Amino acid sequence: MLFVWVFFAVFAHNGFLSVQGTKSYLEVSSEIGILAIGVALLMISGEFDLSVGSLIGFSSMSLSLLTVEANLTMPAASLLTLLMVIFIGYCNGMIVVKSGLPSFIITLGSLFMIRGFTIAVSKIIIGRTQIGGIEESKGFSVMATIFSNSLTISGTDFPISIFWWMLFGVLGYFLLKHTQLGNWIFATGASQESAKLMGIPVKKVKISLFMLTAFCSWFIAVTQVTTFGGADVLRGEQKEFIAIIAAVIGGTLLTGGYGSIIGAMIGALIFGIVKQGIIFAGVDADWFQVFMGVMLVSAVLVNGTFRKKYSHG
Amino acid sequence: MSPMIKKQIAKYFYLIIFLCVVVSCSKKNNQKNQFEKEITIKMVTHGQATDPFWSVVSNGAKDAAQELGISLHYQSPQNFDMITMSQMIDAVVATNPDGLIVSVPDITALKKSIVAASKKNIPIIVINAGSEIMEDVDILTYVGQSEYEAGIKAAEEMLKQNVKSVLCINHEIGNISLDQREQGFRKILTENHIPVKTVPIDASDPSETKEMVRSFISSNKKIDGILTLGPLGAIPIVRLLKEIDPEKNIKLATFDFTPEIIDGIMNGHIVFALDQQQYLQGYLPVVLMNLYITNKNTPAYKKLETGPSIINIENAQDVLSLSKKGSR
Repeated sequence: MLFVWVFFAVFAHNGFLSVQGTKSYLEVSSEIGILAIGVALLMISGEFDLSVGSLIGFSSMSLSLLTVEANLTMPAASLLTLLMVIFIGYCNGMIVVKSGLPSFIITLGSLFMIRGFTIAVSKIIIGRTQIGGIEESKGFSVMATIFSNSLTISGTDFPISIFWWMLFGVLGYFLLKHTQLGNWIFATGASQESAKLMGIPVKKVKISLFMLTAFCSWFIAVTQVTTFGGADVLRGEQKEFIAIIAAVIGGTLLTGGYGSIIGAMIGALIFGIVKQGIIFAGVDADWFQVFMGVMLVSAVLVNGTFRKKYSHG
Repeated sequence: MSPMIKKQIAKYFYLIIFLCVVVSCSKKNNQKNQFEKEITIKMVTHGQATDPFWSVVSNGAKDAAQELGISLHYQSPQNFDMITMSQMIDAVVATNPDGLIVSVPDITALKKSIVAASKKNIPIIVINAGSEIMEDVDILTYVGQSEYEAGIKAAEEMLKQNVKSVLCINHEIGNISLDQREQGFRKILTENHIPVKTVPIDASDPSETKEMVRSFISSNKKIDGILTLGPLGAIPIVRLLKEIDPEKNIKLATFDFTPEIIDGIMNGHIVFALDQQQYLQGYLPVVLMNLYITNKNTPAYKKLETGPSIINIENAQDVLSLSKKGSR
């Protein structure tokens, strides 16, 4: 990560190192990071959730529609949306553990269902795919204080999502390393059969982790809605892959059983630095994806070599 | 720490030092130019990398910058993602450019970033979409097309084709401009009692689009007119119509065009295209911005309309070679 940072610090000399530049990549990292924490925990337990991106779209539209069209107060709408989202997460988990099918396929299905449903329902209700004007709703300021407040450090507003990210990181780390549930998550991912034999409630662990990733999506959605005062149906598109990528860069295995929260957070940070650093470096947009791919692969390679050296040495 | 790891760390350390040396050398060369401080204009648009429409805009901007001898950085998100776009604008603003050219397809989502740019006294020109942002932010001018009126124009042209039932294809869901086009189009046709059905498509997958429209047409036999809100929708449909409609009973029209669209017009599969002359949306703002920075010129028109003009069989030949060059 240091390598990536130094790389951009050198190449993107104008503005990247400024306070505003730091804020810019931390903000991007924090949103990916919050998702990646949930996704990493789920991946350690051996499952994927590809529906997180579409859940962001669903939550932000549901929240906006409930406040603007149904005249609910903002906190009530958020709570109602949270219940729906958690329920979807529960269904995802239920279907996966009951059917025994790969979660990759199941949640890919829910990705399309949720995104399609969001587009269809928004078009029926408002005839558009985009909605604004949430600032005027009741209770907006309460929610904005919690989710999109900002802390001014030397003239630049640092969004509160950065601090939420840190807090979630600490909580996730504690959960994984110092609680029984954390042990269960590792055991479930390493070998489901032996975990079952040891009397670990494998199914419950998995279902609750699916609910956790759904919660993370909801959290991002509320942050975005309160920050930008509106929503559109495409919010969160492709975030599911980005969250997985962040977790993998951070050392989480695709097969489950191994990974860390700190790693996922560093992964998200690298992602944010690369994403914004490219803009600071003034690289032409046509080269953006090439650059991104190279940076990601080299980050993973560097991580991989270090991990091997450590485990052998 | 094992010696292996030390070696590894040393390797990366040397790499970093090497990169620093390379860059500091290149910086020395740059410093010569910095005596007459080079003007840097940054451009952020919502154009997807795969959209031929936007490569013409960026060609226009780059041509203008080259002719003026100023530097221009062009950025756009890979897919239609307003959150990423607002973060891009934030990053660009943090580099303190001399001017910012930006398209605003979603005012609520992007307002915050643009207000922040305006607070830093960076001159702003809005292009292509979002002229309404003038009400909230002080901008130099808007260069683009009035989308609602363009939709009405499209409907009037469509009526001349005597259609009975029309399909409308939206390739960028969530883009206000496209919604406005559709609303204008729908209003006129509904007034004339012609039903309009709108279908959203995934612009990044042409074969999926083709199959989706195929099944839609086969289940709605009455459809005899299709309007796509951009060439990304139209190109796969031209291929589809070549297969299923050789008699050219279905009238296809589109907003904006590419060389393939003009070919389609010339061999009769497309009846007309609405041209907003987007080269101007890249070229003009760079020129205007440069004039503002160097000469403090402010255009009196707050809205520079670049379109629509109609391209049909009569004038398609003229624009074909220009379109292939990437300037129409």
